[in-house]
Amino acid sequence: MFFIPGEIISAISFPGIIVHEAAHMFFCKIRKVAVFEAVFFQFGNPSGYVIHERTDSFLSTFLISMGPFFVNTLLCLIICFPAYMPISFFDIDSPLSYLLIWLGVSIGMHAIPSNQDATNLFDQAKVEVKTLNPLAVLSFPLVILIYIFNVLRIVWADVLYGIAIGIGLPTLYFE
Amino acid sequence: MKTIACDHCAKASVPQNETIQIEHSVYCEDCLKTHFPLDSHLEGKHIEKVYDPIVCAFCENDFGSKELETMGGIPSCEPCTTKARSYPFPMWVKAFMLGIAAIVLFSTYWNFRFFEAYEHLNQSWVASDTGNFEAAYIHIETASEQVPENHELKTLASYFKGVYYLQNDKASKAYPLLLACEQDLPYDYDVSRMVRQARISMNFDDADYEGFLSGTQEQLELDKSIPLSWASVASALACIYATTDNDSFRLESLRHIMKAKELSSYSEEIQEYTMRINYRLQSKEIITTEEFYAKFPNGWEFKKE
Repeated sequence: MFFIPGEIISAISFPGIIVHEAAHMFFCKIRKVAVFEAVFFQFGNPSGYVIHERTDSFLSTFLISMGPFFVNTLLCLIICFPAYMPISFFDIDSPLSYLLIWLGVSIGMHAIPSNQDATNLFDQAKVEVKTLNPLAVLSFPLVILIYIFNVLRIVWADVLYGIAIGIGLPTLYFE
Repeated sequence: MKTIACDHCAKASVPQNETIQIEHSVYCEDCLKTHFPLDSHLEGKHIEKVYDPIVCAFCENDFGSKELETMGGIPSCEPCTTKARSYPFPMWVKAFMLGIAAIVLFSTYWNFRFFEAYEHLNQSWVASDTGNFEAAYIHIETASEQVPENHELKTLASYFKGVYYLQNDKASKAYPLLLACEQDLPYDYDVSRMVRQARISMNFDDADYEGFLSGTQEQLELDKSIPLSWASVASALACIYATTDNDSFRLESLRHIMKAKELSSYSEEIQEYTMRINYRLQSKEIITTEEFYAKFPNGWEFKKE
């Protein structure tokens, strides 16, 4: 395992960061939650963020925090799926296919919410769980998984996730 | 603007928005820096920002005595609230997302032929599994037309078409197709045996009965446990007997028929085949399977002369 500075990884996978932040903001708009500031991509840490209003609606918090997970994962799959097929199944290489796989995996590797997203979700889930909201109950294991995943980023868990979705799933399907 | 006293210095009138409460104690900005020079010093502490209700936290305008509506607990004037609620996606982000959508659509359109070919390939396998090689070769040929760059599809198209022709007694059409894919397909496709089979059938069609006999004998030598191979030699010997009237070929043919029957435990397939050979031995008439069944739709029975 070798170390590559986060800024370089962010630069290489910039489409994923843009989509991640756009997904946060998209769900803010859907749930009518005010957005104070949004940075979709920048060189530095963090490479993107959306500052939004605190909301008492747990569903809103859940969707805003987990939105990038659903959007990035889905986009990764639908971009990679048609591109991977000619390579894997028909042995036909084309630059377009590789471009799409880079795009798809870049988007997929930024699917996992940040620790800040997990913390937002956790704080509100602690309150909401008292009402036995099933989404709040589900949030606890999700938050744990997000924390674990973010620790594992040092061993390229984000890239592996993008590859698993963009290449692994189509491989399973076509095999 | 509301003011508040700092609990940690002599300042009795600090603007409320320039203070913070830590563990329910008010700190002005200077005291915050003095008491907590590092962020780590604040870890685990209860921190609360209590906003001045008459100052917009975003534009910092003072609205005098008018208490402002809050947005997520933060006092906000109407223009700032409107702005935050309608925070726009930047044009370049919209363009980027539209670009992604366009790429997805283009990629799906561009690669659609592969999906179609994949579907035809699957249908071809299903058809071949049920022994319908006509459907199998039609599907695989369509797949091959959609992905002409793929050599394997061409090979499979050749194979399935060859098997279809062989099944339908069109050996002369089957032979070149099977020969073309013999080197490219794995051993378990059994192409070599089919090529031999096609050559044997071609010899029969061309009335080259010596070639027919040597082909079937060659096949029998490869594996003497296959009843059909014994029956094929019997068939070739019967043809030579029918054209030469040399009784030794008849006897030899009968011996091979017996062996085929023994090995197959008198299976239906071998019984049917040997019935046609016996007819040939008795009538000395060489006809195809089709012609035989046109003549004897209910089969034929051996009658002692």
